[in-house]
Amino acid sequence: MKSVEERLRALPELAESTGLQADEQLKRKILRAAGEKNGRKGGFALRRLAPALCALVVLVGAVAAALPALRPAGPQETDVHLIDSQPAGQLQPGEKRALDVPQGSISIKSARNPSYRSIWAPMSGGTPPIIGVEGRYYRMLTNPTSISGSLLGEALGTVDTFTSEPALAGGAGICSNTVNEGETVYAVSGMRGALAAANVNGQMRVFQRVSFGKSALVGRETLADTLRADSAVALELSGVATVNDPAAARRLVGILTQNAQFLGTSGGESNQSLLIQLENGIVIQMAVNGERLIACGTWACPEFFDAFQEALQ
Amino acid sequence: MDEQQFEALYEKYANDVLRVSYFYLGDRQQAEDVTQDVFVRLLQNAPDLVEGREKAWLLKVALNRCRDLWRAAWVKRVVLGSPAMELAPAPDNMDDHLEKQELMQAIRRLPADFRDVILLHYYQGYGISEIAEMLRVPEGTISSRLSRGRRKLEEILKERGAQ
Repeated sequence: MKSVEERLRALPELAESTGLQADEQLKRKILRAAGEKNGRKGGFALRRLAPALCALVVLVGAVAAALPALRPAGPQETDVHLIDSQPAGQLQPGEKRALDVPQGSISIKSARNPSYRSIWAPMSGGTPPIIGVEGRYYRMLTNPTSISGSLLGEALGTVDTFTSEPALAGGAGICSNTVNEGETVYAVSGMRGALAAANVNGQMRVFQRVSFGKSALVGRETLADTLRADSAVALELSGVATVNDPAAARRLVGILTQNAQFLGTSGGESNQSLLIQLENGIVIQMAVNGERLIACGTWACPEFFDAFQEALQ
Repeated sequence: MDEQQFEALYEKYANDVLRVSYFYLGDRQQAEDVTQDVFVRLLQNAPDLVEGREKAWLLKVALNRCRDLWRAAWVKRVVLGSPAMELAPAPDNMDDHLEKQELMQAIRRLPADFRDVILLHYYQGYGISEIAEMLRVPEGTISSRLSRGRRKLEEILKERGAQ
């Protein structure tokens, strides 16, 4: 039995094991909060300057209106082709998906620039809505808001711990900060290890495998195991283009899963995304930062971006 | 204080501030709030920090803020009634995990004066004279709080073991 003194001497190690990190997000929050308070202090000066600022805004607006040539000649919003949303699950009579259309009748769109959009449900209190299943973590997707029973695979178990700190709940069992205790967590059919589904407020929500805390791959898992995107029918790389030819999408996913090098579990910053639409109608995401892709772990794959670029030519 | 100085101090000490606050309050969100308050104060008031003493200033402000929060009735209700802080154990060290968890909970049950001193000494590695200067309390008082804090911890841990 260790003495109190011995146990206290292990406090630094204990602090480390909490995994708590003062990250970039908190730093930005601090700078924003400090800026807001300073802004309030400077309110009087701003009020005095307000008439001059208003005049300046009017003047700039008038000049811009008078010189249409100065406006950027980029693509119109309506030209941008995005991965279409569609219900996940069984098709209704008359509905078609990309794969049902004869091969080659849909081509790769070139030089379109879909804007950035994240489909991961937003963080709350520094933690995303998440389920942990035996050390594998799944983050809730914003869409679809519910999937049909036909897409549910085997039951992975029931949530045994509901906690606001899933990172600290340990790897054993099933924990969540979003799904209530006692709710069953399912694999999505054919997507075990990559997608899970569970009831959230009466809706069967989909969760995508991501790294969380210091956990990413379990055992001998590979990127392919955590994505299961070999049934991709379309890809959208924000700011670049959309590939909606299933054969091309699958070839690109193949290049990604065969060449990506695992860099680590931490996520980092991103303002670009790769959306992958699967044959079952569900869209999953990898955040993109330079030549790194982030979902369940951070991966480097310049080959994928080269191939994506080539596919557009 | 300019942004560059802030960034340097944040990189160096924000984890310590966050973790000390977490040990103190047992709530991640509140620990982040305290860290935010401390660094906002640093940015806004631009205190005259003596080089090499920045960390002591940051921790002192953090502990004061934690105490304020702890005193507030709603914190007592929410935190004392909340589930234990938990750590992520590897499968083969469950005993170790439980032992650490028990220690964290016991620290949170210490009176505030003892908790400050225990965290500053054992977690942050400050000596008795440094803590005395930081908290503006005589060294003898710090020594006494340390030994009484240890005794109290032992009692709490025994009590828990007996349950």
